[in-house]
Amino acid sequence: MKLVNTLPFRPDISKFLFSHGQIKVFSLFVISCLAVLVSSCSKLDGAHSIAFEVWHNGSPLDCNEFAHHQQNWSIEQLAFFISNVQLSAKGADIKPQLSTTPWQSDGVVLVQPYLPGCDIESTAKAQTELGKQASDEALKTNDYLQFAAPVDLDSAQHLSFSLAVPFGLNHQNPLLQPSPLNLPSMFWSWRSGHKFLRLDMQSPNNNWVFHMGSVGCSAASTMRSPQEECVQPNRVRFDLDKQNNGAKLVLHLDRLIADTPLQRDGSCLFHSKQQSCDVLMSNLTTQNVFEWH
Amino acid sequence: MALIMGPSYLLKLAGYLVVFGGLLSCKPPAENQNQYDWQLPKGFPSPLVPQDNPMSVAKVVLGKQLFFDVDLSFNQTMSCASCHQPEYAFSEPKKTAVGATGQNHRRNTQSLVNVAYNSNLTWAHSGLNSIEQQILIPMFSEDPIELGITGHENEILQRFTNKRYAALFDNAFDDKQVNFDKIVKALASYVRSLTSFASAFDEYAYQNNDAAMTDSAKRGMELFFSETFECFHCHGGFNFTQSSQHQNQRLDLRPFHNTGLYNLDEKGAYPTIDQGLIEVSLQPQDMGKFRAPTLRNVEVSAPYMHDGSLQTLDQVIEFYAAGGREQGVSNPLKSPFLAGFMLQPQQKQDLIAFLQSLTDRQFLKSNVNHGSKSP
Repeated sequence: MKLVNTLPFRPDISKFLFSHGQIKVFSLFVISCLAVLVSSCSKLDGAHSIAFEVWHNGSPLDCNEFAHHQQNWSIEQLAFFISNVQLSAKGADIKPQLSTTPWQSDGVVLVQPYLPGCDIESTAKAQTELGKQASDEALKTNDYLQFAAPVDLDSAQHLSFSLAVPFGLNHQNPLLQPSPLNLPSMFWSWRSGHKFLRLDMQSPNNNWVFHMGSVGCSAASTMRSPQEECVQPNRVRFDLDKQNNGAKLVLHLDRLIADTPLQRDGSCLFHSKQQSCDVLMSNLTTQNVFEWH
Repeated sequence: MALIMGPSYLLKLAGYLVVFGGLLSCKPPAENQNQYDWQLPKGFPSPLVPQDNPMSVAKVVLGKQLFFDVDLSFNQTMSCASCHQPEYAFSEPKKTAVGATGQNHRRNTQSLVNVAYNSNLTWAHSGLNSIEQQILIPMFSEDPIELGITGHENEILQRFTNKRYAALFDNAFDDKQVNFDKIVKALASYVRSLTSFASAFDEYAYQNNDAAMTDSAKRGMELFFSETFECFHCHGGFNFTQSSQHQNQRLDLRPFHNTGLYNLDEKGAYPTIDQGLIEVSLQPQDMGKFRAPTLRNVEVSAPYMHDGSLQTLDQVIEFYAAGGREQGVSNPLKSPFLAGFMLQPQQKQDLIAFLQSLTDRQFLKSNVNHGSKSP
């Protein structure tokens, strides 16, 4: 077959392919493979963040709906604070510095995962109606824990953190607090402080909520701060082994809500004696609700 | 690197650094709004202001004149203040609003207290978040007609080409020419300036004065902020509405809730005249969702709810205690925070006393006695 010079660079290509062509192609392949490997390694060497994912029954939720005991549920709001983040490698603990953003300050991070509506057609329709909505989305969700300086996740073996706002930051005037410690939807009052975790869910004919934070706090009134730690601080500490490369932190929703009747009176808001609160707190401490992948 | 460069390179580099430094030191226009004194109590954050309409005293002065001027309606019968009356915290004691032609509006007039902090405006519109945008509705809407400017634009602008207004426009915009863009910007600036933080509650909570509130109001406050009554879930934060943003808090949440006012078909339907957020979002779950308004000065802003269907605070508290109204109690789309609660008569009195402690008398007095005629 004769190659016709239809393109000006054709001779160069044929030269490249046919004089030691195979060797060149192979070596190019090897070099690019190495480049990919090196770049992916260096990315993990200096990780800037850990991503959060919400899973249900062993796979990630990509929108806000899921089926639980033959009932469809949608997540209206899911948000939680984490603090005191610590990594350990070969017995040595490192406290990584967290960057300061609207979602992070004083080492406290508010995570509010991106879970769009599952009804793609109507979501798309609504978004064309309101062009601004997409750009505003960035202000509504946060799926990352961000480090101030790159952190070596490769050699880290454990990740630990508290699902909480530390006492010293928990009961202050929210007007004077930096974001995200000034969000009304995550704040109970001076006396009780912040909701450490908030999960509001809706089914076609029922709803269920879980708001967790410190209870039994003593102060002159709801607008005054307690001087001492609350009777039930409800700060759950997680100490997780790394299962993969450490790039993401998974919240297993099904494990969090296991053995809880999802109905209005199965909600837990930590007022009076709500049995569901005991089950949920025990799930948080025993059911591997978080995993570090 | 610099060592191997010639002196000319160093000079150039220095030049770039100077230029770059100069650029950095230039403050973005938004910072200039600091020139306007919001006169907020210590610790309260300034509202967010659009970059293309920074606050100024001159714009607020012009906006105030316009707000009270009946010349802004096509038939010179009403001004913004006809519905947004200062003594009622810029709302009115009417079930629903009535426009310049006498046409009824389907919704209750909202109070304008601290509207500068709202992350969403009107009763139920997730995309409407600038006051400049919102003001266009009462000005130009044709259904319902409010001020009724549409079709009478030139005639109305003509009314403001007098000596007195020329001076006000000139002060505000360095330009005497009257147009609707300037009118909207001035009105928005005036409305933004309506901040109210001098209630008995503020003095107790933020100024640490234990004696500022009565014992009854303090007991009501405990109920209000309790997880049993759950009022604060929707009416939370310094402005008693989740729908708030300010200089230090820009994160947003969807502040819309179905409160169980109606349930026409057991599936949660609201009357077709007004179904709330669903009209804008087209999402079925947004049926009957409306924005939680601020509770500041709520004592004087009766009647209540988006359709003005509850007349007194007493009725509002009974409504929330019952967890909705009639069939609405079992509305499947009702917010989980409206489960209802048991209420003793004394507790009701205490809750009302607390709501009354949110009244800022100074604010209510500050804008009354303003003439409703053209200057």
